[in-house]
Amino acid sequence: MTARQTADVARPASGTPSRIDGLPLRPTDVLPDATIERIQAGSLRILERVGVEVRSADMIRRLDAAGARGDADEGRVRFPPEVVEEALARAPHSYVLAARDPACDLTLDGTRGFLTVDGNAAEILDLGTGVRRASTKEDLAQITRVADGLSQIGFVWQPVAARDTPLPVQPLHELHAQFTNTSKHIQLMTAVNAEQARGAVEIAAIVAGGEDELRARPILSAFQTSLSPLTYDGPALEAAVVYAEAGVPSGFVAMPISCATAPASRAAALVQSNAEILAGIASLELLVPGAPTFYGACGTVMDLRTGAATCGGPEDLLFQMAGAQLARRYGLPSSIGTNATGSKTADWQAGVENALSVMASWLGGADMLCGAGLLYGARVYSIAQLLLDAELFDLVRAMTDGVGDTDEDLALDVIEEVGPGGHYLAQAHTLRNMRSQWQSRFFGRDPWEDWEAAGRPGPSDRARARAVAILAEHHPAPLPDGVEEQILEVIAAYGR
Amino acid sequence: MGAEPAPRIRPVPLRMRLEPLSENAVERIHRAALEVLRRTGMHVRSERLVRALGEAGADVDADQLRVRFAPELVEEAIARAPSSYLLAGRDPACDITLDGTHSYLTLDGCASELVDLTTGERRPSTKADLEAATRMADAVPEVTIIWQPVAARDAPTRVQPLHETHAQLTNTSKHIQQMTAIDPDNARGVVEMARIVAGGEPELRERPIVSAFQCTLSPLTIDGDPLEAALVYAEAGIPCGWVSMPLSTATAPTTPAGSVVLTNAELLGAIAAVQLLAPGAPTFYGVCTSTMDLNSGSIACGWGPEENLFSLACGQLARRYHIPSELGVFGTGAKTQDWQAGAQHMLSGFTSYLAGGDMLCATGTIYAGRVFAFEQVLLDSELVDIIHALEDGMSVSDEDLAVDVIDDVGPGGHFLAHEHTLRNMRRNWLPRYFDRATWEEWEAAGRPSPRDRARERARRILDEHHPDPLPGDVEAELLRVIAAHEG
Repeated sequence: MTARQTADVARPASGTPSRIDGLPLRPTDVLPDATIERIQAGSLRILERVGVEVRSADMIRRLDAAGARGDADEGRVRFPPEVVEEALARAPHSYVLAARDPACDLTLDGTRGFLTVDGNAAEILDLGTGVRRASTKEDLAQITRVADGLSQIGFVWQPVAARDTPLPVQPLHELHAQFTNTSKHIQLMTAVNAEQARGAVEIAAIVAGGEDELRARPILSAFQTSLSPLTYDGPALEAAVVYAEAGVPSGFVAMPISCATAPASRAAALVQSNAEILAGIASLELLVPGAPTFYGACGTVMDLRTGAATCGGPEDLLFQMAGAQLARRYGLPSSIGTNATGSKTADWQAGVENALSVMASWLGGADMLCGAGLLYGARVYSIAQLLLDAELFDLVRAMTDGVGDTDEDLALDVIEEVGPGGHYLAQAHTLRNMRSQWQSRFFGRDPWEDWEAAGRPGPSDRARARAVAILAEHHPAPLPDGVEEQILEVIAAYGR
Repeated sequence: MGAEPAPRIRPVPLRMRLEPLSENAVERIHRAALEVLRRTGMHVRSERLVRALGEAGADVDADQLRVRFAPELVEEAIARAPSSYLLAGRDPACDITLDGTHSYLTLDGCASELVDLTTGERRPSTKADLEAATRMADAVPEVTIIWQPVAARDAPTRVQPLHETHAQLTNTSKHIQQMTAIDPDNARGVVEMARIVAGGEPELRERPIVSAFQCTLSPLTIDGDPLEAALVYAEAGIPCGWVSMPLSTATAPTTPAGSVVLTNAELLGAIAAVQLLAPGAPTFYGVCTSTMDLNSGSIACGWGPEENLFSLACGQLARRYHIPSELGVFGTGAKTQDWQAGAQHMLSGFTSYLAGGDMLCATGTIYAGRVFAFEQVLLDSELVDIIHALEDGMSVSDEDLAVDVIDDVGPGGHFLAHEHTLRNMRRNWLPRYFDRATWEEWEAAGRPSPRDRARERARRILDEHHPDPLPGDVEAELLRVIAAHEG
């Protein structure tokens, strides 16, 4: 279990604007080593003694044959500690999530964190009316297009479900909507059985230019989620294997809710979450040694009154930081649940929760921050919220530029020249440097009187206007001729 | 104070820390500030004080009112400042020791307008508003130090700071930090009033229930009156800090490091000046450096990445000098409790906490410190509560790890009814103002916001909370002091 690279990151070169702004990471360990040891020991004990339920007799037998202890009658797979350790050692520590546009390639090596479009909501706040309604394939296309134009977004999940498409091939329609609207990396979260995964791989291979090309430059990745507590659906594991065999990175994400699907205490929720993720990764590495994978943690707490996920309290923040720290310990890229405020609108609460959430994922050292744009505890998508979340990501990224201590930064001669009681407005030093100051797109800075005269507009009004402008102005790189037709043929074939 | 067994004050333990400056960068900034004080020096607008500083060893130009400090002189002077001291409360349960182990949140100051709690509209502030704001803050444990949140604009200007002090001594038994008495006469009035409440001159020296601060004028200027006031406080044993509030690009260099150098030079210069004239006086290193909005030329209304970096960097510098720090926090540019206010306050609050600030200033204003809002104090207290919950961290006793419980429930089960859940679920954080109702409930209730809930609670506190009264005829004596200074 090698430590991953945690070196300081050079500032991005100035010049042409980059298509993607990564967040330079300098991970901070929130938990002391002894705490991590106890949590890790707890997880290994659970994996050995309790194991996980796998809802597929065939998959249980395959895992048993590969070295785990499967019991098809009981529906259980147990993992001795040495099996877990060996399996984990096969997972690569670093790899590239390629993109249709190579300028959007993401290297997961612990030096930079990337923000994704969050997923997967069944409802959306209509950009025009502001009313909550069921989501469609066209919504998915629009959000993807906006994300393609935002440098803070590194890659895309499926923000909303294409609910107006036939259920069995819905993930393939979603992939179609995304490949035609972004040249950034796509991480598919909705194809959760082998059949759907095969369809997704076929589509990705068409766009990549062939199976070998896809393997060399995986423009698609995917993940499967555990069903807490301690359960995997058989088809989900089968899908993971399909991806891995095609060279498509395939991660595992645990989303336990303390008090409901995980124990109430913080440490126990982490023990269980860690066990679930390790079970997924170990299973994959037993069946497809060396498959690129990642460690996904997205824990939250149940609201004691409504029974729903709270999304955004301090426990979530500790889970984020601890999850990233555990992933680092295993030498695996991390995907950390970030943002997704519990609030229903872009209000004070959304600002508080998501600001702290981005800080926690940054401090924790998350490779993938997942993600931007969800409200109401991940149940409703808002394009305005996507832009606001991207703004906070950008603010935190600007903090990582640091203070600097060159002579130009320190400006001693300028301070002397201006002297006591003067001002710096007209100094050449000011003109040279002032544009590197961070500029907010959505914070309100107009005088109170102007604000009232304008009807008290808020940040989300400005964000909505910007989304409309991006949709009008931004045109993602088109697919080469004939490719879209081939994608539609695949969907048609799978839809039969 | 009602049924709640809450502590009177709730400081945040400082365990996590973020230090963006390398040791080398800290030294470069330190040496750069010394160089500014040696070469450029400070403009001190008082012949008397310039002469006095000259006699105390500074290199002065009496005609230009310029004071330059040799690096050794600055180092010697700041080494005299105590690294730890007491800020007493009238109620000893509100005592604060600044020793680097905890962070203390102050109530903001000093807005000239406020959002009326009844109408929700902005209007000029009065002494009665100051009393109400102080009384509410007295009941909020996260607020540990009381500035003057709004100006008593209906009081006679000359003794307005004394009216403000009166309004506060009668409405809180927490520690008061006086920020509006910025001339020696008002400072003397404050000292007299504080002595009356403390029970005498030695009692106040022993237990300073009031502290104060003065501001530098950026760049590199100190007015005579604030420096005289600082000396009045020092003589009475009242801790008096210095706060530098330059605006990067306008009154400080536009580069973040240049702004930090200027801030540091001003604070070292001001603190050295007082230490040369009143050796050993308790003081603090106060930072409220911000950026100018390039579009409007006004203050950028708060808390972008630069402000957060200023806090982190200056927290490191204050620790280098072993002087307690007071770091700017909150102070959103937003005009209401919206996404911007939430995001800016959470980022600045968390960053200043990670910066290790002894005092975090301050809670309660919006519109870049120009308008006070009662509800803002309560919403900010929720953020402090979140940081507390983060600080609690993750304990790993067997009860915490619950391996047997996980085994007991097994795959596919649930924890809802498990005894371990019932025992532990209340340890999870519960919000006061966050909305966690279902969408349907929320719409049916008319989409209430966190601000609505905070306003409601503010009104309830004002209805129900009664601060510790002053004994006997103390208030009458306070009013006599004001009358004497007015006349």
